[in-house]
Amino acid sequence: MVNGLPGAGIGGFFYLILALYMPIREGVRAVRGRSRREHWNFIMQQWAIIGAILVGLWLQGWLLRELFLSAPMMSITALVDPTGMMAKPAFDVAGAAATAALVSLAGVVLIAEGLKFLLDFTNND
Amino acid sequence: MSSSSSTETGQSSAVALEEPPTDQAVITTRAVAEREAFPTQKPRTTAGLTVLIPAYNEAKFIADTIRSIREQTLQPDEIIVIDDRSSDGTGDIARSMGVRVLRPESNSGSKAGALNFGLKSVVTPYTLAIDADTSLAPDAIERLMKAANTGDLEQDDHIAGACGYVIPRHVNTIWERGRYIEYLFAFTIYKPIQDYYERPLIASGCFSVYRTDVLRRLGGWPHRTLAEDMDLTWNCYDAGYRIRFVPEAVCYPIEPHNFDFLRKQLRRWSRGFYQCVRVHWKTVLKTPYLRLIVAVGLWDSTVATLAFFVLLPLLCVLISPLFLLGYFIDLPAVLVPVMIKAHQRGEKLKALSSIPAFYVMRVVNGVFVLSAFWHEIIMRNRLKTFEKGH
Repeated sequence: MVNGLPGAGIGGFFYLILALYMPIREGVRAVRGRSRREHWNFIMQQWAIIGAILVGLWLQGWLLRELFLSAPMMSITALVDPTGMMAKPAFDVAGAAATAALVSLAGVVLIAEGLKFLLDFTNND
Repeated sequence: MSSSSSTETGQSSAVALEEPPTDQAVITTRAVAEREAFPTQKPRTTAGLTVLIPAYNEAKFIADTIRSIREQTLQPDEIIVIDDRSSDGTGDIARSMGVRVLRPESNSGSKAGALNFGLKSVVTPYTLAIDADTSLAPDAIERLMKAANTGDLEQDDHIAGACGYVIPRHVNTIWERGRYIEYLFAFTIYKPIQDYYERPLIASGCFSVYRTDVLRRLGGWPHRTLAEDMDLTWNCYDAGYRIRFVPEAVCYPIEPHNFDFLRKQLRRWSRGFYQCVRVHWKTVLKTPYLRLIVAVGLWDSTVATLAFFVLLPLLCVLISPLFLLGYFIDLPAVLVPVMIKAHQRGEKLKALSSIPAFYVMRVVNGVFVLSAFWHEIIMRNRLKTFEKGH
């Protein structure tokens, strides 16, 4: 639990992608005759959890938009956002942050694989 | 020395008699319910297994730990307590319970040192390391040895060891509650996925079993870092072995109940993580999936943590206070796996009421992780002192 902030950062996306990739990996294993029934059961369990998380995130996004961008609620949120002009940029930046996290994840993966390639290359020399 | 020890033993025994049975009763009740949910095969009487318990001033907890091992459905061949020069009579309590007690000539200075001292006396094919303040569910050893119901540990030579699911024994203070949610989250989502890809980041030191011959071949538990469990796990990967995570094998350690213990533990863990990265960077890079798991961990522990502490407050001030929501935006991602596991364990209310503590804990974790990065990576100031904190 020490490496990073659980749930935050790119870790969440990373494990989500790993979970989504599991059926492909297991399919390759099946072709090679190395697949197991327990693995498929496990994949289904993880997909169910990931599915529930995605639904939860969507619901949260919807709820927050309703709460902060819908007209009736504007009078309440006006306490912190009198002009009503700050909420939308916040949601726009939130979307941009998610995109940035995915791009960061891609960058981190590329760097790790690149360093591995470099290590192999220097070892061969 | 001996008269002083016996006096302390008297005091410590009294403590040990007062506290443990309640805990064990709770654990046993939980485990019976879990066993009914996951029926096991007929228990065997011996496992070819030695249990090593490194202990330094653990008089309050050692009796509970030994009792929980005695009640296992699969009994170890021997239980060895390494009394690392305790001054509170830990060794005497253990001896009175009929287990073998080893006492080095001087304090070994770390858990790894104590474990290696005990490893010399192991004659069984398997060695199980358990913290002196960790109790086990009654079928934990049986489930761990079966390694995810496939018998892998005994049949697959490439598997060096296995670790189990960790749940804090007490969930009362804010720190224990934060840790409880962290464990429910990580052991329900992160660790099973790591196990599927055959690369658990770490075989938790509080409850892990290893092949004795592999342990000896690798030189036992490394003491060059403060995270001997992570160091050993990565040593196993370096030597071409695998580690399994067995979620059905449950253990219950005592987690820090106050900030002083938490501080020592987090300092050790976070500094140990970076020390392992420095020592093992080549192993990490050449090991599939592990390099990605560690790379993402490094990014989150530095860049994401900095964003958490610097970028979000700046956005709150400069653009909109709504950016404060960024601190809780991942609530569904945390809540779903936590509540699924809590539901299975019949602890929904406890989990729900502990969620706020998780967010406090996350901030504290972030501070220690950044501090560790600064000292270990930037300043190259390696922490060498093993500070005991649960």
